[in-house]
Amino acid sequence: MNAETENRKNRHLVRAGALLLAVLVVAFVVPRVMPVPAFLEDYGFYPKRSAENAQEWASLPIKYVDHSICRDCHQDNYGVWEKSRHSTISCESCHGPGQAHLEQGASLEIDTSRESCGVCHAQLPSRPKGFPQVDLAAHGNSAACVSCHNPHAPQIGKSPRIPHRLEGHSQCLLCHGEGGIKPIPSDHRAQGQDTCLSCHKK
Amino acid sequence: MKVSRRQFIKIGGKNLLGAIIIWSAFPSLLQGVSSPEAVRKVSPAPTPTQRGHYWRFIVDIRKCIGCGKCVKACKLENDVPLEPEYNRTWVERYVITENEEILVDSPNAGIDGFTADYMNIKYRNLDIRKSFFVPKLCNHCDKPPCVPVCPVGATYATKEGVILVDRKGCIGCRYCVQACPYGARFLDPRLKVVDKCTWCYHRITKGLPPACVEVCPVGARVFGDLRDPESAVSKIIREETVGILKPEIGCENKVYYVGLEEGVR
Repeated sequence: MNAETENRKNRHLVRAGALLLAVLVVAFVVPRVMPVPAFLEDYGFYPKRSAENAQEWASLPIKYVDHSICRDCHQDNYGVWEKSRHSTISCESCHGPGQAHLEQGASLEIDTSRESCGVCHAQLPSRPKGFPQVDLAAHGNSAACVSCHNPHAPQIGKSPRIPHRLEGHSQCLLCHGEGGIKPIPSDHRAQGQDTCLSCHKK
Repeated sequence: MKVSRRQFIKIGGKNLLGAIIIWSAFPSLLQGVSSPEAVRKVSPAPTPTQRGHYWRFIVDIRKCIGCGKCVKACKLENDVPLEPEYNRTWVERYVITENEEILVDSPNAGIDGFTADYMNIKYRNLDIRKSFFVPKLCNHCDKPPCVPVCPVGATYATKEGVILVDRKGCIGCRYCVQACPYGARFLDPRLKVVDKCTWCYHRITKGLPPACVEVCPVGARVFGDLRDPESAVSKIIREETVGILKPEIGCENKVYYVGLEEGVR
Protein backbone atom coordinates (compact mmCIF):
# COMPACT_ATOMS: atom_id res chain seq x y z
CA MET A 1 0.00 0.00 0.00
CA ASN A 2 1.35 3.40 -0.82
CA ALA A 3 0.82 6.63 1.12
CA GLU A 4 -1.81 7.96 -1.24
CA THR A 5 -4.21 5.04 -0.99
CA GLU A 6 -3.67 5.09 2.82
CA ASN A 7 -4.69 8.76 2.92
CA ARG A 8 -7.75 8.14 0.84
CA LYS A 9 -8.77 5.29 3.11
CA ASN A 10 -8.50 7.50 6.21
CA ARG A 11 -10.51 10.29 4.62
CA HIS A 12 -13.12 7.70 3.73
CA LEU A 13 -13.34 6.64 7.37
CA VAL A 14 -13.69 10.23 8.58
CA ARG A 15 -16.41 10.80 6.03
CA ALA A 16 -18.21 7.65 7.10
CA GLY A 17 -17.97 8.71 10.76
CA ALA A 18 -19.28 12.18 10.03
CA LEU A 19 -22.13 10.73 8.00
CA LEU A 20 -23.01 8.36 10.84
CA LEU A 21 -23.02 11.26 13.30
CA ALA A 22 -25.23 13.30 11.01
CA VAL A 23 -27.68 10.41 10.63
CA LEU A 24 -27.83 9.97 14.41
CA VAL A 25 -28.48 13.66 14.99
CA VAL A 26 -31.18 13.69 12.35
CA ALA A 27 -32.73 10.50 13.65
CA PHE A 28 -33.02 11.81 17.21
CA VAL A 29 -33.57 15.52 16.84
CA VAL A 30 -35.81 15.77 13.81
CA PRO A 31 -38.55 13.39 15.04
CA ARG A 32 -38.72 15.31 18.31
CA VAL A 33 -38.98 18.73 16.73
CA MET A 34 -40.81 18.07 13.50
CA PRO A 35 -44.06 16.24 14.28
CA VAL A 36 -44.99 18.40 17.27
CA PRO A 37 -44.30 22.04 16.44
CA ALA A 38 -45.09 24.28 19.39
CA PHE A 39 -47.80 26.19 17.53
CA LEU A 40 -49.83 23.01 17.14
CA GLU A 41 -49.92 22.51 20.88
CA ASP A 42 -51.16 26.04 21.23
CA TYR A 43 -54.01 26.45 18.84
CA GLY A 44 -54.21 23.57 16.41
CA PHE A 45 -54.21 24.19 12.68
CA TYR A 46 -56.84 26.88 12.39
CA PRO A 47 -56.61 29.48 15.15
CA LYS A 48 -59.30 31.67 13.58
CA ARG A 49 -61.92 28.95 13.48
CA SER A 50 -61.04 27.88 17.03
CA ALA A 51 -61.71 31.37 18.43
CA GLU A 52 -65.12 31.29 16.75
CA ASN A 53 -65.78 27.78 18.03
CA ALA A 54 -64.84 28.73 21.59
CA GLN A 55 -67.55 31.39 21.36
CA GLU A 56 -70.05 28.72 20.31
CA TRP A 57 -69.15 26.61 23.34
CA ALA A 58 -69.35 29.65 25.61
CA SER A 59 -72.85 30.51 24.37
CA LEU A 60 -74.44 27.16 25.32
CA PRO A 61 -77.32 27.50 27.80
CA ILE A 62 -76.72 26.65 31.45
CA LYS A 63 -78.99 24.23 33.31
CA TYR A 64 -77.62 24.35 36.83
CA VAL A 65 -78.20 27.87 38.15
CA ASP A 66 -76.37 29.64 40.93
CA HIS A 67 -78.07 28.35 44.09
CA SER A 68 -78.31 31.82 45.66
CA ILE A 69 -81.18 32.45 43.26
CA CYS A 70 -83.29 29.83 45.10
CA ARG A 71 -83.50 32.20 48.08
CA ASP A 72 -85.71 34.62 46.17
CA CYS A 73 -88.70 32.30 46.46
CA HIS A 74 -87.78 29.72 49.08
CA GLN A 75 -86.64 31.91 51.99
CA ASP A 76 -87.98 29.49 54.63
CA ASN A 77 -86.04 26.41 53.57
CA TYR A 78 -83.09 28.49 52.41
CA GLY A 79 -82.76 30.15 55.81
CA VAL A 80 -82.81 26.80 57.61
CA TRP A 81 -80.43 25.15 55.16
CA GLU A 82 -77.99 28.06 55.24
CA LYS A 83 -77.16 27.46 58.91
CA SER A 84 -77.16 23.67 58.79
CA ARG A 85 -74.50 21.06 58.29
CA HIS A 86 -75.90 20.52 54.82
CA SER A 87 -75.09 24.10 53.82
CA THR A 88 -72.08 22.80 51.85
CA ILE A 89 -74.54 21.09 49.52
CA SER A 90 -76.01 23.14 46.73
CA CYS A 91 -79.82 22.97 46.39
CA GLU A 92 -79.52 21.48 42.92
CA SER A 93 -77.32 18.68 44.19
CA CYS A 94 -80.46 16.95 45.51
CA HIS A 95 -83.26 18.83 43.74
CA GLY A 96 -81.77 18.70 40.25
CA PRO A 97 -80.98 21.42 37.70
CA GLY A 98 -83.06 24.55 38.24
CA GLN A 99 -83.01 26.48 34.98
CA ALA A 100 -86.18 24.91 33.53
CA HIS A 101 -87.87 25.42 36.92
CA LEU A 102 -86.91 29.07 36.86
CA GLU A 103 -87.90 29.78 33.28
CA GLN A 104 -90.93 27.59 32.68
CA GLY A 105 -91.89 26.70 36.23
CA ALA A 106 -91.19 23.02 35.57
CA SER A 107 -91.55 21.14 38.85
CA LEU A 108 -88.46 19.74 40.50
CA GLU A 109 -88.93 16.16 41.63
CA ILE A 110 -87.14 15.29 44.85
CA ASP A 111 -86.29 11.71 45.66
CA THR A 112 -86.92 11.14 49.38
CA SER A 113 -86.19 7.43 49.39
CA ARG A 114 -83.71 5.82 51.77
CA GLU A 115 -81.55 4.95 48.77
CA SER A 116 -81.37 8.60 47.80
CA CYS A 117 -79.94 9.53 51.23
CA GLY A 118 -77.84 6.38 51.17
CA VAL A 119 -75.99 7.52 48.07
CA CYS A 120 -74.03 9.73 50.46
CA HIS A 121 -74.69 8.23 53.90
CA ALA A 122 -74.79 4.45 53.44
CA GLN A 123 -71.79 2.82 55.07
CA LEU A 124 -68.93 2.13 52.67
CA PRO A 125 -65.30 1.29 53.41
CA SER A 126 -64.19 3.71 50.70
CA ARG A 127 -65.70 6.82 52.26
CA PRO A 128 -63.64 9.19 54.42
CA LYS A 129 -63.54 7.98 58.03
CA GLY A 130 -65.14 11.04 59.65
CA PHE A 131 -68.04 11.23 57.23
CA PRO A 132 -71.47 10.45 58.79
CA GLN A 133 -72.40 6.97 57.59
CA VAL A 134 -75.01 4.50 58.69
CA ASP A 135 -75.72 0.84 58.06
CA LEU A 136 -79.05 1.17 56.27
CA ALA A 137 -80.02 -2.43 56.96
CA ALA A 138 -79.68 -1.98 60.73
CA HIS A 139 -80.91 1.60 61.10
CA GLY A 140 -84.36 3.13 61.16
CA ASN A 141 -86.34 0.00 60.42
CA SER A 142 -86.70 0.90 56.74
CA ALA A 143 -88.59 4.12 57.52
CA ALA A 144 -87.93 7.03 55.18
CA CYS A 145 -84.91 8.94 56.56
CA VAL A 146 -86.80 12.21 56.21
CA SER A 147 -89.45 11.14 58.73
CA CYS A 148 -86.86 11.75 61.48
CA HIS A 149 -84.07 13.75 59.83
CA ASN A 150 -84.80 17.11 58.25
CA PRO A 151 -82.70 17.11 55.08
CA HIS A 152 -82.36 20.91 55.21
CA ALA A 153 -81.04 20.85 58.77
CA PRO A 154 -79.98 17.29 59.54
CA GLN A 155 -79.19 16.21 63.09
CA ILE A 156 -77.76 12.96 64.27
CA GLY A 157 -77.99 11.50 67.77
CA LYS A 158 -80.85 11.20 70.23
CA SER A 159 -83.80 13.35 71.23
CA PRO A 160 -84.02 16.31 71.32
CA ARG A 161 -81.54 16.47 68.43
CA ILE A 162 -83.87 14.29 66.45
CA PRO A 163 -87.19 16.11 66.66
CA HIS A 164 -90.09 13.81 67.57
CA ARG A 165 -92.94 15.32 65.69
CA LEU A 166 -94.27 12.15 64.17
CA GLU A 167 -97.80 11.33 63.24
CA GLY A 168 -99.60 8.29 64.55
CA HIS A 169 -98.46 5.15 66.26
CA SER A 170 -96.68 3.08 63.65
CA GLN A 171 -94.02 5.73 62.92
CA CYS A 172 -92.93 5.70 66.58
CA LEU A 173 -92.78 1.94 66.68
CA LEU A 174 -90.31 1.92 63.79
CA CYS A 175 -87.65 2.87 66.32
CA HIS A 176 -89.32 2.15 69.65
CA GLY A 177 -90.93 -1.19 68.82
CA GLU A 178 -89.92 -4.35 70.64
CA GLY A 179 -86.17 -4.84 70.39
CA GLY A 180 -85.61 -1.22 69.32
CA ILE A 181 -84.16 1.78 71.13
CA LYS A 182 -86.08 2.39 74.40
CA PRO A 183 -88.68 -0.20 73.36
CA ILE A 184 -92.35 0.26 74.09
CA PRO A 185 -93.11 -1.20 77.57
CA SER A 186 -95.29 -4.32 77.57
CA ASP A 187 -97.98 -2.60 79.68
CA HIS A 188 -98.52 -0.17 76.78
CA ARG A 189 -100.05 -2.92 74.68
CA ALA A 190 -103.49 -1.88 75.85
CA GLN A 191 -102.96 1.70 74.62
CA GLY A 192 -104.88 2.70 71.55
CA GLN A 193 -103.53 3.38 68.08
CA ASP A 194 -103.61 7.17 68.60
CA THR A 195 -100.45 9.16 68.57
CA CYS A 196 -97.87 8.43 71.25
CA LEU A 197 -97.25 12.17 71.45
CA SER A 198 -100.48 12.73 73.34
CA CYS A 199 -98.63 11.53 76.47
CA HIS A 200 -94.96 11.72 75.41
CA LYS A 201 -94.13 15.31 74.58
CA LYS A 202 -91.61 16.12 71.84
CA MET B 1 -2.93 6.45 12.40
CA LYS B 2 -3.61 3.21 10.64
CA VAL B 3 -7.10 1.84 11.21
CA SER B 4 -8.64 -0.70 8.98
CA ARG B 5 -12.35 -0.86 8.53
CA ARG B 6 -12.43 -4.15 10.43
CA GLN B 7 -10.50 -2.62 13.35
CA PHE B 8 -12.76 0.46 13.37
CA ILE B 9 -15.86 -1.66 13.73
CA LYS B 10 -14.21 -3.91 16.33
CA ILE B 11 -13.01 -1.07 18.57
CA GLY B 12 -16.22 0.87 18.16
CA GLY B 13 -18.35 -2.18 18.92
CA LYS B 14 -16.39 -3.02 22.06
CA ASN B 15 -16.64 0.53 23.35
CA LEU B 16 -20.34 0.66 22.68
CA LEU B 17 -20.88 -2.66 24.47
CA GLY B 18 -18.78 -1.46 27.42
CA ALA B 19 -20.75 1.78 27.65
CA ILE B 20 -24.04 -0.08 27.69
CA ILE B 21 -22.85 -2.44 30.45
CA ILE B 22 -21.53 0.40 32.65
CA TRP B 23 -24.65 2.44 32.03
CA SER B 24 -27.08 -0.29 32.97
CA ALA B 25 -24.97 -1.27 35.98
CA PHE B 26 -25.62 2.12 37.54
CA PRO B 27 -29.34 2.80 37.69
CA SER B 28 -28.61 6.29 38.93
CA LEU B 29 -27.02 7.09 35.59
CA LEU B 30 -30.15 5.91 33.84
CA GLN B 31 -32.27 8.04 36.13
CA GLY B 32 -30.28 11.05 35.08
CA VAL B 33 -31.49 10.46 31.55
CA SER B 34 -35.19 10.32 32.38
CA SER B 35 -36.16 13.90 33.08
CA PRO B 36 -35.98 14.85 36.78
CA GLU B 37 -38.44 17.62 35.98
CA ALA B 38 -41.29 15.11 35.88
CA VAL B 39 -40.61 14.32 39.52
CA ARG B 40 -40.39 17.93 40.56
CA LYS B 41 -43.69 18.83 38.91
CA VAL B 42 -45.59 16.56 41.30
CA SER B 43 -46.02 19.61 43.51
CA PRO B 44 -46.65 22.43 41.07
CA ALA B 45 -46.07 25.93 42.31
CA PRO B 46 -49.05 28.30 42.10
CA THR B 47 -47.81 30.03 38.99
CA PRO B 48 -49.40 30.25 35.58
CA THR B 49 -48.05 27.85 33.02
CA GLN B 50 -45.69 29.04 30.33
CA ARG B 51 -48.64 29.78 28.12
CA GLY B 52 -50.26 31.99 30.74
CA HIS B 53 -53.15 29.74 31.73
CA TYR B 54 -54.59 30.56 35.12
CA TRP B 55 -57.57 28.26 35.55
CA ARG B 56 -57.04 25.25 37.76
CA PHE B 57 -59.27 22.39 38.87
CA ILE B 58 -58.59 20.65 42.16
CA VAL B 59 -59.91 17.26 43.22
CA ASP B 60 -59.59 16.37 46.90
CA ILE B 61 -59.52 12.58 47.12
CA ARG B 62 -59.66 12.73 50.92
CA LYS B 63 -63.08 14.39 50.78
CA CYS B 64 -64.81 12.45 47.99
CA ILE B 65 -67.64 10.23 49.25
CA GLY B 66 -68.40 8.62 45.90
CA CYS B 67 -71.99 9.83 45.64
CA GLY B 68 -71.71 10.34 41.89
CA LYS B 69 -73.69 13.59 41.86
CA CYS B 70 -70.92 15.18 39.79
CA VAL B 71 -71.31 12.54 37.08
CA LYS B 72 -75.06 13.08 36.95
CA ALA B 73 -74.82 16.88 36.93
CA CYS B 74 -72.22 16.74 34.14
CA LYS B 75 -74.48 14.62 31.95
CA LEU B 76 -77.53 16.81 32.55
CA GLU B 77 -75.71 20.10 32.15
CA ASN B 78 -73.85 19.11 29.01
CA ASP B 79 -76.37 16.79 27.37
CA VAL B 80 -74.00 13.83 27.49
CA PRO B 81 -75.54 10.45 26.50
CA LEU B 82 -76.82 8.75 29.65
CA GLU B 83 -75.36 5.32 28.81
CA PRO B 84 -72.56 4.43 31.24
CA GLU B 85 -69.85 4.24 28.57
CA TYR B 86 -70.05 7.93 27.62
CA ASN B 87 -68.61 10.19 30.29
CA ARG B 88 -66.95 13.55 30.52
CA THR B 89 -66.27 12.85 34.16
CA TRP B 90 -66.49 9.68 36.21
CA VAL B 91 -65.62 8.38 39.67
CA GLU B 92 -63.30 5.44 40.26
CA ARG B 93 -63.15 3.40 43.44
CA TYR B 94 -59.72 2.22 44.52
CA VAL B 95 -59.49 -0.70 46.95
CA ILE B 96 -56.04 -1.66 48.21
CA THR B 97 -56.01 -5.00 49.99
CA GLU B 98 -53.63 -6.22 52.68
CA ASN B 99 -52.01 -8.33 49.94
CA GLU B 100 -51.21 -5.03 48.20
CA GLU B 101 -53.57 -5.83 45.37
CA ILE B 102 -55.02 -2.69 43.82
CA LEU B 103 -58.62 -3.10 42.65
CA VAL B 104 -60.22 -0.34 40.62
CA ASP B 105 -63.81 -0.16 39.48
CA SER B 106 -66.33 2.41 38.37
CA PRO B 107 -69.79 0.84 38.11
CA ASN B 108 -71.90 2.94 35.70
CA ALA B 109 -69.08 5.50 35.89
CA GLY B 110 -70.20 6.11 39.49
CA ILE B 111 -73.39 7.95 38.48
CA ASP B 112 -75.56 5.92 40.90
CA GLY B 113 -73.03 5.98 43.71
CA PHE B 114 -71.36 2.85 45.02
CA THR B 115 -73.96 1.61 47.49
CA ALA B 116 -75.93 -0.96 45.50
CA ASP B 117 -75.42 -4.54 46.70
CA TYR B 118 -74.04 -5.83 43.42
CA MET B 119 -71.30 -3.21 43.52
CA ASN B 120 -70.07 -4.38 46.92
CA ILE B 121 -70.40 -8.16 46.91
CA LYS B 122 -66.86 -8.82 45.72
CA TYR B 123 -65.37 -6.60 48.45
CA ARG B 124 -67.24 -8.19 51.38
CA ASN B 125 -64.66 -10.85 52.21
CA LEU B 126 -61.57 -8.86 51.33
CA ASP B 127 -58.99 -7.66 53.80
CA ILE B 128 -59.09 -4.00 52.85
CA ARG B 129 -56.09 -1.93 53.85
CA LYS B 130 -57.45 1.27 52.42
CA SER B 131 -59.99 2.46 49.96
CA PHE B 132 -60.94 5.78 48.44
CA PHE B 133 -62.66 7.40 45.48
CA VAL B 134 -60.87 9.16 42.64
CA PRO B 135 -62.99 11.45 40.47
CA LYS B 136 -61.56 11.80 36.99
CA LEU B 137 -62.04 14.29 34.18
CA CYS B 138 -60.09 15.89 31.34
CA ASN B 139 -56.85 17.31 32.76
CA HIS B 140 -56.79 20.15 30.21
CA CYS B 141 -53.06 19.56 29.82
CA ASP B 142 -50.81 22.44 29.00
CA LYS B 143 -49.05 20.08 26.60
CA PRO B 144 -52.03 18.08 25.39
CA PRO B 145 -51.13 14.92 23.45
CA CYS B 146 -54.64 14.85 21.96
CA VAL B 147 -54.38 18.18 20.13
CA PRO B 148 -51.45 17.67 17.74
CA VAL B 149 -52.71 14.26 16.57
CA CYS B 150 -55.94 15.66 15.13
CA PRO B 151 -55.62 15.41 11.35
CA VAL B 152 -58.10 18.22 10.72
CA GLY B 153 -57.21 20.58 13.56
CA ALA B 154 -60.64 20.22 15.12
CA THR B 155 -59.41 20.10 18.70
CA TYR B 156 -57.52 22.98 20.18
CA ALA B 157 -56.68 24.90 23.33
CA THR B 158 -58.48 28.19 23.91
CA LYS B 159 -56.38 31.12 25.01
CA GLU B 160 -57.28 30.29 28.62
CA GLY B 161 -55.98 26.75 28.14
CA VAL B 162 -59.29 24.88 27.94
CA ILE B 163 -59.12 22.01 25.47
CA LEU B 164 -62.21 22.02 23.23
CA VAL B 165 -63.45 20.11 20.19
CA ASP B 166 -64.87 21.90 17.17
CA ARG B 167 -67.89 19.75 16.39
CA LYS B 168 -68.18 21.16 12.88
CA GLY B 169 -64.58 20.21 12.13
CA CYS B 170 -64.32 16.83 13.86
CA ILE B 171 -64.45 13.90 11.43
CA GLY B 172 -64.76 11.28 14.19
CA CYS B 173 -61.49 9.48 13.44
CA ARG B 174 -60.81 8.97 17.18
CA TYR B 175 -57.05 9.56 17.00
CA CYS B 176 -57.40 11.93 19.96
CA VAL B 177 -59.37 9.33 21.92
CA GLN B 178 -56.37 7.03 21.63
CA ALA B 179 -53.82 9.76 22.25
CA CYS B 180 -55.32 10.86 25.58
CA PRO B 181 -53.38 9.15 28.39
CA TYR B 182 -56.31 9.63 30.77
CA GLY B 183 -59.19 8.19 28.75
CA ALA B 184 -61.01 11.49 28.94
CA ARG B 185 -62.42 11.49 25.39
CA PHE B 186 -65.14 9.47 23.70
CA LEU B 187 -67.10 9.45 20.47
CA ASP B 188 -70.60 10.85 20.90
CA PRO B 189 -72.78 8.11 19.36
CA ARG B 190 -75.44 10.57 18.19
CA LEU B 191 -73.30 13.21 16.55
CA LYS B 192 -70.38 10.93 15.58
CA VAL B 193 -67.94 13.54 16.84
CA VAL B 194 -65.55 13.39 19.77
CA ASP B 195 -66.78 14.81 23.04
CA LYS B 196 -64.94 15.63 26.24
CA CYS B 197 -65.02 17.73 29.38
CA THR B 198 -65.04 21.46 28.62
CA TRP B 199 -64.75 22.48 32.27
CA CYS B 200 -68.29 23.70 31.50
CA TYR B 201 -66.84 26.41 29.27
CA HIS B 202 -70.31 28.03 29.00
CA ARG B 203 -70.42 28.36 32.78
CA ILE B 204 -66.88 29.37 33.66
CA THR B 205 -66.91 32.10 31.04
CA LYS B 206 -69.97 33.51 32.86
CA GLY B 207 -68.28 33.29 36.25
CA LEU B 208 -70.15 30.17 37.37
CA PRO B 209 -68.34 27.04 38.56
CA PRO B 210 -68.51 23.88 36.42
CA ALA B 211 -71.69 21.87 37.14
CA CYS B 212 -69.77 19.08 38.91
CA VAL B 213 -68.20 21.62 41.26
CA GLU B 214 -71.59 23.22 41.92
CA VAL B 215 -73.24 19.99 43.02
CA CYS B 216 -70.37 18.34 44.92
CA PRO B 217 -71.77 18.01 48.47
CA VAL B 218 -68.41 17.82 50.23
CA GLY B 219 -66.28 20.32 48.33
CA ALA B 220 -64.08 17.62 46.81
CA ARG B 221 -64.05 19.51 43.51
CA VAL B 222 -62.78 23.08 43.39
CA PHE B 223 -62.36 25.32 40.36
CA GLY B 224 -60.78 28.74 40.23
CA ASP B 225 -58.31 31.32 39.04
CA LEU B 226 -54.68 31.43 40.14
CA ARG B 227 -54.45 35.19 39.60
CA ASP B 228 -56.58 35.71 42.69
CA PRO B 229 -54.38 34.76 45.67
CA GLU B 230 -57.51 34.45 47.82
CA SER B 231 -59.28 32.01 45.50
CA ALA B 232 -59.89 28.52 46.82
CA VAL B 233 -57.53 26.95 44.29
CA SER B 234 -54.69 29.33 45.16
CA LYS B 235 -55.10 28.55 48.85
CA ILE B 236 -55.22 24.80 48.37
CA ILE B 237 -52.17 24.79 46.11
CA ARG B 238 -50.30 26.94 48.62
CA GLU B 239 -51.25 24.96 51.70
CA GLU B 240 -51.77 21.35 50.63
CA THR B 241 -49.67 18.67 49.00
CA VAL B 242 -50.97 18.44 45.47
CA GLY B 243 -50.08 16.05 42.69
CA ILE B 244 -51.08 15.27 39.13
CA LEU B 245 -51.91 11.98 37.43
CA LYS B 246 -49.05 10.35 35.51
CA PRO B 247 -46.57 13.22 35.94
CA GLU B 248 -43.92 11.15 34.15
CA ILE B 249 -45.67 11.72 30.83
CA GLY B 250 -45.04 15.45 31.09
CA CYS B 251 -48.44 16.69 29.91
CA GLU B 252 -48.44 19.46 32.55
CA ASN B 253 -51.98 18.75 33.71
CA LYS B 254 -54.09 21.56 35.08
CA VAL B 255 -56.22 19.24 37.24
CA TYR B 256 -54.47 18.78 40.57
CA TYR B 257 -55.23 16.09 43.14
CA VAL B 258 -55.01 16.43 46.91
CA GLY B 259 -54.35 13.19 48.78
CA LEU B 260 -53.05 11.41 45.70
CA GLU B 261 -51.93 7.88 46.51
CA GLU B 262 -49.07 6.28 44.64
CA GLY B 263 -50.62 3.70 42.35
CA VAL B 264 -53.46 5.97 41.22
CA ARG B 265 -53.09 6.30 37.49
